[in-house]
This record gives sequence, C-alpha cells and structure tokens, in this order.
Amino acid sequence: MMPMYKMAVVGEEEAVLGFRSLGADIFTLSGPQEGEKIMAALKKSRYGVVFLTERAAKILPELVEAFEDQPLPAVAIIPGIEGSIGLARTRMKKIVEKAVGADILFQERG
Amino acid sequence: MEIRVSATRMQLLATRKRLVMAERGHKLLKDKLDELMKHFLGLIRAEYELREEVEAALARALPAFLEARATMSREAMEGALLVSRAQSKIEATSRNIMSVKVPELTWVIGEAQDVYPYGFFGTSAALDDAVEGLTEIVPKLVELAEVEKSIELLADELEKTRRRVNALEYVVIPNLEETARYIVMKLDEVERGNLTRLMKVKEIVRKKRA
Repeated sequence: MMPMYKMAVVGEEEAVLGFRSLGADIFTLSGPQEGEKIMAALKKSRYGVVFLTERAAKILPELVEAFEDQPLPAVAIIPGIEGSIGLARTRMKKIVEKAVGADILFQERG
Repeated sequence: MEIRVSATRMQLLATRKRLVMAERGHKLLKDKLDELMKHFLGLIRAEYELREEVEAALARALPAFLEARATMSREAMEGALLVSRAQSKIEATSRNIMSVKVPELTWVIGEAQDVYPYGFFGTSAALDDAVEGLTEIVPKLVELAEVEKSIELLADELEKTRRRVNALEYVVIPNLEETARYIVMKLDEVERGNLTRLMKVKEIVRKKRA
C-alpha cells in the first residue's frame, strides 16, 4: 500500500470551483487574514499537492515558500480565471538563479 | 593570512596529506555538481514545456465552469459540486536523483467509474463538459507540481554543493598550499642556519688546533 496524500486548492471562488467536483480540499481566500488559518490547516493534514492560484499566491507569498525545503507537499502556482500573469515563471527563474548563480535559461525567452 | 602551525617535517607531511584529500574531495564534488546540473537543466526544460501546456489548458477549462454556472442556478451548481463523491488523492513515492530524494506523484481519483459526481437532475451539459475538461488536465497539473518540487529540492542541493566546491577551490586548497610552502621555507631556513653554525664551529675547532 502506497502512502496516500490529499490534494488541496487555494484560491478565489470562481477559479477553484471546478476542483470541488474532483473532491479536492478547497480553501477560498478573500483576504490575507485567512492566510494563517489556511497555512495551519495545510500543515496539519497530509497534503501531497497544493495548488495555489496566482491571486492567492500574491496575497499569501509565504505559503509558496513555506514548504520549499520539504519533500511534500509540492506547491504549484496555477493561473486563475483571468489567465496567467507569469508568477510561476518568475518563481522558477528565481530558483534557477539561486541554484546556478546566474540567469541561464530565461533571458532569451523572457 | 596568518599561519599557525609549527614548522616541522611532521606538520609538512600532514599538510600534504590533507591537501591531497582536499583535492580529491574537490574533484568528486565537482563531478557531482556537473551531474546535478545536468539533471537540473533537464527538469527545467520539462517544467517549461509542461507549464506552457497546463496554463493553456487551464485557460480553457476554468472559464468553462463559469459558463456552466451561467446556464444553471448557483444553488444547483454548488449543490451538484458539493455532493461530489469523488475523492482526489495523491499517491506519493520517492525517487533518488544524485542522493536527493524527490517525490513522484500520481493522481488517483476514487470512484473512478463515476466521473460525474452528481445526478442528472438540474445540472447542465455545460457542467459535464467543464468537469470532463478539468479531469483531463489534473494529471498534468500533478506532474507539473512534481517537477517543480523536484526543481526546488535539486536547486537546494545544487547551491550547497556549489558552495562546497567553491570553498575547497578558493579557500581550503590555497590555504593548505600556502601552509605547505611556509613550512618548506621555514625548514630550509633552519637547515641553512644549521649549516652556517656547523661551518663556524669547524672553523673555531681548526683555529684551536693550529
């Protein structure tokens, strides 16, 4: 029996609506004051994957970084209902820069 | 830099031994760094393509739910989604990339035979389509999360390894070389001092004899 984890989606109502039908745990976010509650909930149970809409990632940047050095959960930023503003791209770029010491991949692709 | 060792032959031998060790460590770590970098770049490329794909797909799938909501009452929609019996689970195992443990994630949905987790009454075909669209994307989304997590973990290891390589290359090895040189010079100096002293003594002895 392989270890099973849960899936969570954090974001604004309209964007996370669909994930509810798949039986993921949904956290809707309307302001930063709910951030701590969500964070605590995420830490308490075993989540394998946490999806965060871009709007949520903007309000709660600490949520993105909180699990960075742990093997699980994997936190991924997904575009919200209004399409991508490139937040996830920026994050990857930052990670690459930190690891390699230079921006090696994205400069030509922007 | 100040060197605090006693200039003895013992110290010289010990220092040379440490130097050899440091150089070997440096070479090994550098190999590790190269290999890590290879995996890392591969993952970065995979992530780039996956994300393009997922973001494009999501841009189609998410608005579908809004459309579905427009075709039916809000209550009916929420109700339909709330009674969902589907259970998204993530199966996790781990994989080893250069002694970095990265997760391997698979999306598992319970009650898979029942894709539409609600009855037909009061729900629209648009909702069915929306759910189906999203269901198709989720495996890719989970894969994306897996790859991004792997990148994070590898990036950490890369940074650590790079620091170690640099520390060895620019601090430890030069210091040891410097120390070895210092000891050699000190020993030579003592040797020369000894020689002149001997010559002096010999001269005094010869003068007394004469």
